[in-house]
Parts: sequence; C-alpha cells; structure tokens
Amino acid sequence: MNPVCTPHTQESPTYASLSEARSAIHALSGVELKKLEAIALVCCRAFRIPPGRMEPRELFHEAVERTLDGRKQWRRGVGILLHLGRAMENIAGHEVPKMQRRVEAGQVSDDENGESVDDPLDKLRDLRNHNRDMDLRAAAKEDVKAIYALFDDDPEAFAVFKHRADGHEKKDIQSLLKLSDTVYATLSKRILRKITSYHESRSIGR
Amino acid sequence: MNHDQSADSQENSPNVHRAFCELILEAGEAEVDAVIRAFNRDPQQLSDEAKRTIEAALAASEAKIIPFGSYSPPDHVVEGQPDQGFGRLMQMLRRRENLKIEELSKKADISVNEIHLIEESPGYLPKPRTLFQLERFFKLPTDSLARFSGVIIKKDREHEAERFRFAACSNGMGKLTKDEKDLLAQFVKHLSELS
Repeated sequence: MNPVCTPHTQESPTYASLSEARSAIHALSGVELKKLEAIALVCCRAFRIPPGRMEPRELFHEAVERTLDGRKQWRRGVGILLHLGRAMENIAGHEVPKMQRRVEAGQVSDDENGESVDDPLDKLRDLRNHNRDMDLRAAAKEDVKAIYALFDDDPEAFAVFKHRADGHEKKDIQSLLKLSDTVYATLSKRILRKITSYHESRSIGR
Repeated sequence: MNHDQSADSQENSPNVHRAFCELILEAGEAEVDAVIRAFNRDPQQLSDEAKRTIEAALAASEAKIIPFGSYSPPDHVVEGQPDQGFGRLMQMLRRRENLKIEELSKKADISVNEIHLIEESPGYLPKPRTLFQLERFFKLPTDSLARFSGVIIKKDREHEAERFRFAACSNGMGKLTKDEKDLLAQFVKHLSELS
C-alpha cells in the first residue's frame, strides 16, 4: 500500500505540496497503477473519446503531469488514488472535448480569450459540435439504462450502487443500509462483476 | 427495480461511471485485473506501461519542464514560432526509419493524432511524455527534443540559429535525399552536443 497515499494535515491547510505529490506518485504500487489504468479505460469509454484522440495511457499521464506541476492540486485528506482518478475523470469529461473541438476547428487561442470569430464556418462547426454533444448525451443515457438493467434481479446491490452514484461514501452507505463490512464487500464485488461483464460485452469485436 | 424511479440518475450519467471507478479503487487485484481484461487489455502490460508513464512524468518534472499549454517564448525567439522546424525534424526522423505515422505510433507508443499534430501543426507544443518516448525511440539524448521543441527553454543563440536553419529545409515525402540525410545527421549531432 502506498505509504504516503494521503497527505499530512499539519503543513498546509488545503493542498499538499508538489514534493508531497511527487513522493506519493513515486510510491504508487503495481496494483495501484493497475487501478488507475483501469479507471483511465473506463473514463475514455464513458466519455466516448475517439481512439487516436487521447488514449487511456495519455489520460493517465495527463493527470499525473498536472498533479506534479500543480495544475491539479492534491487536496489534503483525499487519497492520491482518488485524486488521480478524479483528475482523469475531469480531464476526460471537460477538457479533452474542448481541446478536441479547438483542434478540429483549427482554433488555438481566440476562443480561450472569449473572442468570437464571425465566420459562417464557425457556426457550422458549432452546430456540428452541438449535435455531437446531443449524441453523446443520448449515448450516455443509454449506458446508464443498460447498467441499471443489470440490477433488475438484484435490488440489494442496486441500492448500494445507487447510493454510490449519488455521492455517498462507503461508511455512509453501510450506515444508511445497515450493512456489515462483509455484506458490503460481497455486494461491491457483485456490482463490480456486473459492470465488468457489461464492459466485456461492449469490448467484443473491438 | 423500476427504471423510471432512477430517471434523475440517468440525467447524470457520469456519476454512474464515477461510482464504478470508486469501486475499482476499493477492489482487490483480481477484480481490477478482470476489469482491465474486460477492455481487452493485459493487466501486467498496463501496469508496466503505467510505471513507464510515471517515470517519464517524474523525469519531466525533475527537468523543470514547462507545463503543456503554458509556454511563452523567450525574448530572442520569434513570437508565434516557438517550435519552428520541430515538425519537420520529426517527419525526417520518421522517414529515415522508413516508418508510416501509424507504424511510428505503435513503435514509439504515441497516438497517431499527436504525431499528426507535431508534424503538421506549427505551434503545437508536444507533451513531455511524447518527447520522452520520441527521444527513446530515435535514440536521442535526454531532453534534446524538449529543448528543440521549446518545451524546455534554453537561451542559446547558436541553438536557435541551428533550429531555424533546419526549419528552412525542404519538406519532402518518402525516402530522404542525400542532402536531407546529411542535414539530419548534422542536426542530430548538434542535439547530442546541446545535451
């Protein structure tokens, strides 16, 4: 287990220093790296990043790099794995699509300054981006529907998963649903197996 | 379970994926391996790749590389041309190895898109990891490409002159001509001396 996975709380009130982040990243174990790579795979698929645009390994690298240079500050009290996982989600969900749109539209700086370019081609691109956003939203809804359908015959596991999706942490869920450690662990494994099989079915033929 | 009851969550689908990701963080190695295999990837290979990624990122941060996207050219570099010649250098190195972009992508473990951006988009600043991978693949000295591309700023007038001279060379296709080979060999030597 990473010995410095959560920063000490005495030195700075809110964020860990860059050297603390560096030490924590340096100390990541093989299993922890696998977990982060697995999350990178999930993020790239969840946000439908086209192959060749940003590969999962690049997403992971981006999250590590931004943490090391301070663009993604590591909040004290948050484990380094959770921090990097959320950084990847944030990059995939917000920044990559913006970056792709700029590259596709051949725009590098004007948009960033908030200056609009009065060009009919830009309007066409905006429309295309809007349509793609709508497609992505529809596909995401389909995803959720399919994942929820996996729990049709398993209300116990669904309750845990639903609370998780609503932002509750493990201990809160255990308390809300009155679950022992053992039962929670069993249900978590079941949830993981179900969603893993969903991703497996989506990978067939890829 | 009635799916209509969870319509609110369907509006917020990233939370579903986030929940899955958080469960991955809590899972044991066997379950994590199963998730990775579900994406048709080999867990051990991914773990090794991740180690290399971390090494590259740590090495880049040690070298005080300027973050992607926050580059501003030094006073002696012509504004708007921070990486002049870099795309051409990459293209010539690739052609020297008789590789297509897709082949280089596989061999150097860089996305096809990024190679296109490097070769074809003047002003594109490559990521430190990409530079690290390219240096390794083309057997160039550490940080030489980072300096050349402008990711590491080194105020060196002689280097700038070499860089601009290289940028002015022809932008051919296919195999390198003798002149191009000579120029490339000379420039690679310059990069070695620079580092």
